[in-house]
Amino acid sequence: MNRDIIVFDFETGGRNPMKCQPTQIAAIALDGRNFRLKGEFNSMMRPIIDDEEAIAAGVDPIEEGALKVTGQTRAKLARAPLPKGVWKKFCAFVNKYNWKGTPYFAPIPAGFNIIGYDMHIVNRLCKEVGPWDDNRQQQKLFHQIYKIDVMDDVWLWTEGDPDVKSISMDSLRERMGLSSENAHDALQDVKDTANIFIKLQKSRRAVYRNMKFEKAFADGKLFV
Amino acid sequence: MIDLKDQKSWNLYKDGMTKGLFQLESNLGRAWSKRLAPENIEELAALIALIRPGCLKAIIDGKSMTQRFVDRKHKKEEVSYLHESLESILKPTYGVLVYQEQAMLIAVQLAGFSEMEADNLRKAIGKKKADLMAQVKEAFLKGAANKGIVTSEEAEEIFGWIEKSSRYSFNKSHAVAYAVDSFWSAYYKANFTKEFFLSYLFYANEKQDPHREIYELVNEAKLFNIEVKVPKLSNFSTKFAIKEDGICFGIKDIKSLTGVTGDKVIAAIEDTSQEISKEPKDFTWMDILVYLAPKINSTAFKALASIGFFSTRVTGVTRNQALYEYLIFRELTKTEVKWVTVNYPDKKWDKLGNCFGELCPTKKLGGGCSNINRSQIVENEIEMLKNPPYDLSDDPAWIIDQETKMLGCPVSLSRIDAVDTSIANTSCKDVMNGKKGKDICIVANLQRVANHKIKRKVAPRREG
Repeated sequence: MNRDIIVFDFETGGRNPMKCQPTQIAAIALDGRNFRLKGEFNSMMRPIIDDEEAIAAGVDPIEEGALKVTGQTRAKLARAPLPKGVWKKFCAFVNKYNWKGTPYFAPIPAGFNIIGYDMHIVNRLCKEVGPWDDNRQQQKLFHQIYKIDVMDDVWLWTEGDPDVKSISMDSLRERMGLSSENAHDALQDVKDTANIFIKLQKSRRAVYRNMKFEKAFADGKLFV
Repeated sequence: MIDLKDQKSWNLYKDGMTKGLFQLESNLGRAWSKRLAPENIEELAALIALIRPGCLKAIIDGKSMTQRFVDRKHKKEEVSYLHESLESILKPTYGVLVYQEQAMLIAVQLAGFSEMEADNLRKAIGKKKADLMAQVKEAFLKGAANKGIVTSEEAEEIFGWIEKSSRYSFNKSHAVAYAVDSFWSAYYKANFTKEFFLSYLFYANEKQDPHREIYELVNEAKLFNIEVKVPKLSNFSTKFAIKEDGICFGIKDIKSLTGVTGDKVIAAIEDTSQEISKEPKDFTWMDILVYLAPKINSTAFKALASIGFFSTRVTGVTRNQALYEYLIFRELTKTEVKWVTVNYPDKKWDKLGNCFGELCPTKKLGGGCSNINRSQIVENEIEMLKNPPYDLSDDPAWIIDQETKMLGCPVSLSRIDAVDTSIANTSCKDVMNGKKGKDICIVANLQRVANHKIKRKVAPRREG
């Protein structure tokens, strides 16, 4: 594809994407043509540590369970950079890979379960800090049409396999032989997601070369 | 006075280096120029006349007239004439009827046409008027019978041939004038190469696709060992200019700085230079952030930073670092920027981090922040300066993308600089200079892949 891909992931202090507080953001930029790694981004984000203050600000307090999963402590998060500053740097990082500087060539967002989770956080941050598209009422940092959710992708590939009981990131790591060291560190999650995506995409490209798309239904053999 | 026998100029046609040469700039012109390798104005005029669509499509006896002309010039096909009386007229064009003037001369010589009548023949050919053609044909056959140089069958055949030539024949005076113009451009390209490229680049913006034009010119300039450079704060001009044995892009040749914005940037640099009594080449990175950045709009500043305008020996910043630190500097409020500007001459901070360190405390504590919230934000930015969330070095692929976006083509690096080229043993330039061999391995940027259906088991000839 002639656009670059940003595989990204948020670690958060809660489960509700509409109200949780991001505690870390990591991303890698991939060349859309050959999937070469072009750049990495990784930063902690300071949430509102005090539960009452968080509720007053309209966001969910940090959950202990979330801290346990990500291996963070409140003290460590209190020293992290402010989310607004980090978000602006992240936007600058993403814009680096918009190689024509137009919305049409904006990088394509990719990640694990991004449609159901991370893209909501992106939209929240874009609405609050920018860049926000008032007409479409959505973010305008990434490409506004294409999104690659690797979870959906994996599900579509494995849906006929009775041995695949779960497609969570942890199950996939185990099944596909990826190391679980540093799991739930945002940057490691992003790299694992990218590896899975690239493997599937390369397989898809190989299949496509032997597929006949043009006039595929011209013979009238429709499925429905 | 231009020497029409200048071999260096004729070699340009022979080698297909026709970018910028009048009438032969296109891929088609380059390919046919290489095939024909014209050696004088007569042949060049014929080439210009013969690469028109009519000629290329006029397939007679399985060959286009253009191909026939080329083959006859290189003695791959015997030169023959429909009738021996035509030799004197058609000899300069190897027996191919290229020009309308040749058809007129044939009519005068074989059918005794007056100049006026011959001109009617030209009009009938040029304007493809069927009724006029019928009238002229009648007069031609009658005249030929009276003259008796050719038989009536031969006259019929010759006129049929002239009629067919109406699809492609061209006005000779026009072709020769074009050829002379074309040779002039070739002469300047061969003998004043740098100036030639400079003037073409200078006016590239007036072309239909300026970026494409710049791309082609820069690539061809490299084949002539002319270095094309990005503008730098240490050495810049308004438009393309010759600098240090190379051609340098001007500030107004950068996308988004072409109009008034470019003028404002130049004025801002001059203002800053006067304000701090320093030559632009001596500006430090802090000078740029404190004095120059507030005078330039953000889009222009980012465009300049991304092509490495601020990355000089004195500033020592990478393009990414310049963009990143500019983004951070823009987080400051107007009051904070004012505090930095007032204090900078005394404090002379060498790094943005040191500047922010002294700005961070509130005014009560001797800093420049108005309240504790602002202090916290500045402190946050100090942390982001110390530990940037992404690598601030310049990746070659990114540099190439940025230069393509801002200048129309990669200038400092080529696409192949972004890949491992250790396997290559030959450069494209070596191949162009005639290097041949079995084990040649080149690294090249493939721009276009074309599929050709092979008819009659003969592959189409492709050059260039």
